[in-house]
Amino acid sequence: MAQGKSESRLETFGRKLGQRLQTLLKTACRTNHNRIVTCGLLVLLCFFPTWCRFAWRSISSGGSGFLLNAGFIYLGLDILWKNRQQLMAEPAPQEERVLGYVLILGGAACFPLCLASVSLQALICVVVLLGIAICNWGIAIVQKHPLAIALILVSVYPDLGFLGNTLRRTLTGKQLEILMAWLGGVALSAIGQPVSVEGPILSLSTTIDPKKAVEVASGCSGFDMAFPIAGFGLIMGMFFKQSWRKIAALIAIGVALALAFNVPRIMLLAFAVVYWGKDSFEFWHGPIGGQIFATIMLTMYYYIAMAIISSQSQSHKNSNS
Amino acid sequence: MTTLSSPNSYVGSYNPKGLCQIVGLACLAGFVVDLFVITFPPNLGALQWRIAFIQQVSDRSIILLFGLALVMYSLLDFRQLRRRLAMFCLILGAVFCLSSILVIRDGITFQQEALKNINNQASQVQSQIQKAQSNPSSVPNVTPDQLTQLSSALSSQVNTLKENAKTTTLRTGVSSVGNLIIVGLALIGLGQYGARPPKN
Repeated sequence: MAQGKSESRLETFGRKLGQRLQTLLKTACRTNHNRIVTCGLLVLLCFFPTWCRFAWRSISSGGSGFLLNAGFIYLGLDILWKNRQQLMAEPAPQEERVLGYVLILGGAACFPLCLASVSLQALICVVVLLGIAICNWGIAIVQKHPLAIALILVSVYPDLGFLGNTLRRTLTGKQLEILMAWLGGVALSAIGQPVSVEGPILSLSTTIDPKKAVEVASGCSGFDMAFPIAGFGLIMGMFFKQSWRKIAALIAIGVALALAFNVPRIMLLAFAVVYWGKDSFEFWHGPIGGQIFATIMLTMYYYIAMAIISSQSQSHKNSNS
Repeated sequence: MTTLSSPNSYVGSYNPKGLCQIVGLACLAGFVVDLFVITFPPNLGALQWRIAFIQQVSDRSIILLFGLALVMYSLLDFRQLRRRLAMFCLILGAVFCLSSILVIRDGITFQQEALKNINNQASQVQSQIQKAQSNPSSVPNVTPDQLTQLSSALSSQVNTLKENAKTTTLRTGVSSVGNLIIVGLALIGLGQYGARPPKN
């Protein structure tokens, strides 16, 4: 009896779902505008599994990259949602609609040509999203809420850390690695170790000795830590509604801390390579060693960031009173 | 009395729109001629042709923008024509922005091909060195040490070449994509202006 009841419930649920889908499909195909927007949404739907796969890969390996995307989407949508009445009040003028249609259809036409590269697919989704926004609310939405639009569009890219690192490597080459090796060398000589540095290579001997040398590679430059911290500084600052000066301070302190904490890490790794053997290097270089450093650094960053945020609210109170 | 106010009214009485029309149309005609020369003979299938084509179009696109802006100004009083031109500018701007996606795609393919070529040549030389190492009597004047040095020098040179290829393609790509996007956005702005010119 109970089973029959639950089945009928399931059936009504299925029927209602079917009706909903039917009305949705009818709405989607009613006017040319809806058809084109549906086409754009289909492109986004094609990219969605890839985006989710990257997100899952990031989350399951303990990475923090996806939190940036989630935070950016939340902040962007939050700004737009708060201004929804103003947005709804101004529909797009005819010619801007056409512009949106061209962007959507052009993006949809380019999509099959770019299946080989995830980055290009993300770029096309950015164009399609912009097209959908412009054909519904006009260019005015981009002009009035550039920050919200930028946050949402940036979060379409599934691996922001990779993008940032690639950009850094292209623009500055190995400068950060060389700086880190130099700082590590200075710190090591300060504690009385024999050390020599040549470019990104750090050697625990008075001349460069291949057996006692470590190379500061792209992954050890501290950028992988500094980039998400800068992103979280931005997210935290915007979430707590700080002034732009405070947000810049949050980001700058986060980056400085991440790079500063990378120096003892490089020292430790150099010791591990030269004196302690391969196992200890793998431990400190692997996820557990990285987590230990990250934990110490994030704890410090938390207290500093909270001090900055609360000092602002205190000065607010003072100025109010 | 009329002579007193004449300097100002003289300036006001001339209409600069005809001038703008002439220069604007000349710019557009120049761009079309250039485009014609670049396009023919078309070879859409070839990667090299596409890259060169887009790069030259993006280099000359500022002239297009300038010409369209001048023509738009000269047509401000003709509502129908102005709106058509504005629509044309909007669509052209969107096409410019969209074509930058294809430029990036072509750039990536080109870079991959260049890297593949470098790798192929390097592996050929490397296999020759290995042959010489396994059979020292075939190269009597070269010691095994020299061969090892040669091999490591080759691999470091290959790495530098790869880095160079990457940065070169990226820099040219960024310059043409940057131009395309900037001109595309400017054309969209021009179209928006032409559709509803602000009144003073």
